[in-house]
Amino acid sequence: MRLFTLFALTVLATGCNGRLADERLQPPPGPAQHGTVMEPPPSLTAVVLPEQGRASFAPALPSGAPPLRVACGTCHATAPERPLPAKPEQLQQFHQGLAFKHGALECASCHSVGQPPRLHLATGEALETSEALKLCAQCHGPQWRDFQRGAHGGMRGYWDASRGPKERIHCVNCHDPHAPRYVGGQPVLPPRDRLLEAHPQEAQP
Amino acid sequence: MSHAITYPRFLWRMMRRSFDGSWRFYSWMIFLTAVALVGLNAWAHQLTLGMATTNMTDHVSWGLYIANFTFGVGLAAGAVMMVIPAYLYDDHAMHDVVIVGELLAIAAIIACLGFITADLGRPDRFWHILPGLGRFNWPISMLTWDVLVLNGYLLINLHITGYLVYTRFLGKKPRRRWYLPFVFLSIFWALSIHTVTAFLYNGLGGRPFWNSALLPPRFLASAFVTGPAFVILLLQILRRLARLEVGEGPLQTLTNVMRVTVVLNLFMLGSELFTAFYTGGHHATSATYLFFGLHGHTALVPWIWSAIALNVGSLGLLLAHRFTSHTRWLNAACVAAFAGVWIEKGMGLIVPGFIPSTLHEIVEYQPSLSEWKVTAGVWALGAMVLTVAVKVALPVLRGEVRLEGEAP
Amino acid sequence: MTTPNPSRRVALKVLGATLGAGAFARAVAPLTEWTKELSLDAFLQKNYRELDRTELDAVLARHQQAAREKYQRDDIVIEDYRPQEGVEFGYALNLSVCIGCRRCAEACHEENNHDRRTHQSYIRVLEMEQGSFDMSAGRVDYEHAVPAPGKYYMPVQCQQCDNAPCVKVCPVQATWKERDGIVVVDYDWCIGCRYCEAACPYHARRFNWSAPEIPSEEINPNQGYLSNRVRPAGVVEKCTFCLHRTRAGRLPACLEACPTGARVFGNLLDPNSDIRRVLENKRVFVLKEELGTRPRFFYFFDK
Repeated sequence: MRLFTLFALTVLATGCNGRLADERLQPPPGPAQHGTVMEPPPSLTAVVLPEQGRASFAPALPSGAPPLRVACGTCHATAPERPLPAKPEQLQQFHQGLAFKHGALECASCHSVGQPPRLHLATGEALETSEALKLCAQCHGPQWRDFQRGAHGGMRGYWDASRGPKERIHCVNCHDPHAPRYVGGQPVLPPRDRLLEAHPQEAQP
Repeated sequence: MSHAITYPRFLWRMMRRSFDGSWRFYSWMIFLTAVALVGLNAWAHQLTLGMATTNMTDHVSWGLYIANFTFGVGLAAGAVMMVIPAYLYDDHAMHDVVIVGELLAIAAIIACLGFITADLGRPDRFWHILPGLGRFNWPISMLTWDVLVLNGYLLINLHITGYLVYTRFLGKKPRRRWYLPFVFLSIFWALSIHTVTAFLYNGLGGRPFWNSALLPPRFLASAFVTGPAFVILLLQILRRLARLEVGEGPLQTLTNVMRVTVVLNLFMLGSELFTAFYTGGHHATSATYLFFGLHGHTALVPWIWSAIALNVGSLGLLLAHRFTSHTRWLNAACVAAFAGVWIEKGMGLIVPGFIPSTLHEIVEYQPSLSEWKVTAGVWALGAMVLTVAVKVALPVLRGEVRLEGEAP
Repeated sequence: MTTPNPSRRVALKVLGATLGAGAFARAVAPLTEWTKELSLDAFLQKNYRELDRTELDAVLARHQQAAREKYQRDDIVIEDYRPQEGVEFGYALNLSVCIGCRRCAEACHEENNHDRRTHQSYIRVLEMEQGSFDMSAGRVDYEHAVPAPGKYYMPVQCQQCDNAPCVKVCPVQATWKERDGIVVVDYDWCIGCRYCEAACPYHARRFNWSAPEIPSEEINPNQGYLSNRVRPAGVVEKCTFCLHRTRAGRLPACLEACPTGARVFGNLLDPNSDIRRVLENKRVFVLKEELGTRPRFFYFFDK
């Protein structure tokens, strides 16, 4: 059987060597010229949820409207500094209704008081908000490792670094840092069997 | 006279005769032509609109056409059951009628080629499969083997029958070395056509329902049911309509063959079912679907139980000598066996191989009207070939039509 | 029944023949529509692997011209993308991360110019029962929000087998494995026998039961001869790892559409590629390994 297969494959292989296959192969990938490009993280400050308690100054939002997303600096550039509460429920005015489901963390575990608002690592080292990845990586080692190896998190662009960059997205594009469980959604494009379609009628001659 | 003159004359005379006959012959041929044209029309629509006119899907990607193709190959191979007694066992009574079996093989193979053509999405690219011209994937693809053995079988039988009829037309005695080797070759070749056709299916590892070493023997056993069954009926018809002299001998021999093959066929089916159901698991899902339905899908259940009933019924009739001595009961047994195997090999073997699909989805299949039309058309074509062949060949062999004598 | 006199007999025969010819013409009349689409050039066209440069250019130009006319789009370009030296593609899918949103199937649908009526796609996503690998308990037509509790999701597409059953069975060598591991189909050579569809253990092949219908504005104009150009009716097609993208260094469309990063693609021959790291560090398996098809599509779990 194996002999036969071998013979058969040889015949197949020789049969395959047509002209094109030999003639024109593209050159191999060259040295990497492009790295990974991070897309900017989205603005995350979902401060007001329409159906929950609203900040006193907030305009009345129609029910069902999407959460208000405002860049941090809009308020924090001018607002006076205050000490951070332990949990979002203790917030009296702003960021009310923030659903927090992220283990036993406290606000100050990640956020720093200061101008402009920043994050900080467990070591206390300050971190720009755009560097949030490193913050996540402190605890989520396996995910961070997989992310670096291209096995976690969406991407676009080129597999061949000699031809173009690979665009990556941040953790926070998919995982809300305050409630990181991935929410999912409705699936698209259900399969449709051909028979469920109207049968093409034979045209009348 | 040289053959360069007599052979064209032979062909001309045969062609003339194939358009000439009694009112019975004309009405039969007109009927077949009408059916064939309906099929041709449905096929023309299929080519224009695409195979969406069929009920096949990406899940059940072969249907009625390939089912009938498989059955047709069996019919062609089964005809050899007249050749074996005639030549291997020197059964003289069979010798006189063996030509009918060979003509049946020719007609069945032509029908098979018709089914393959009907099943192709791009018949306009037929030349791609011609050895030498296209890219013939031989010996890897079993389909290329099938092309070779089917066309080879067609040629061998055309040669044997053509040679015998032509020499009788010339009024000569056929020379054994010009046909006897081919007769013996045709015996092995008949086995090969159905074995290779079984290999088409049972070589596919992804289809557990087919992937059984018992498939080729089963195919042969069922072929040796349908071939003799059809010939028994055909011989009686020819005895009445075409003045073919058939004694009881050949009918008896063929009945005896059927007694064995019907049992064998059922035995092997039983073995397959034991293996499937006793083991259980995924190997049994297709069989479960076929016999009992799966998750409320039961499209094939009536088919297979009819097949079982027909096969068991024919077995009962054949085993009781009391019955087979009556032609009526023998004929009933033949019809039952023929229909039983037709269902078992088509809707009972080809279709369930695809259900559930390789991803275990259940998409059912029932042939569309268009498929039935094309199928009827192809069988009508086969019947036309058989009718004309028998009509032309028998009088020549009886010595009624000769080069000298009888006015054209 | 009396024998009719000879002249009457001849007259009857002529009448019969005329009626027969008329009926025949009527029966094959639909074919005129079909033959309009055929041309001598197309009929005589050689297998892709036998075309030399000039012939191939002519074929590409003919197809491109026809596509531009049919869809009234001047931006349609049909090119011949060849394998790269030193590149063999591999694809891996993280079952722990996939949420079954079917965006990959949708991206495939749009990228590869699939028929819009049938939602055709080379990818089928199975919703599986947690803790079981029984595909018969899975389903593909779920419509509820995903990921559903107690389920996991397994997208299946062409596994680009090294020992591909579909390639073996093709009677005309219309399908073959290219040097970078991609199994392709020459849509201009396939005779539509669908033997490959019966042979494939992964439901990876699709037949064009009728000519695909795609609105002109939805056509993806960047097309490959062996991949996403609009297929004719009556031939088989399959996933090509988007070779018109991947042979230009880009990632496949299904990967780019994946919101969770469940998909990993790259060059198996490059030891530093993402795909190699997955194969070397994850618990990887292939579908239906027992069939000996040696897929180049891998699955893995994180946890």
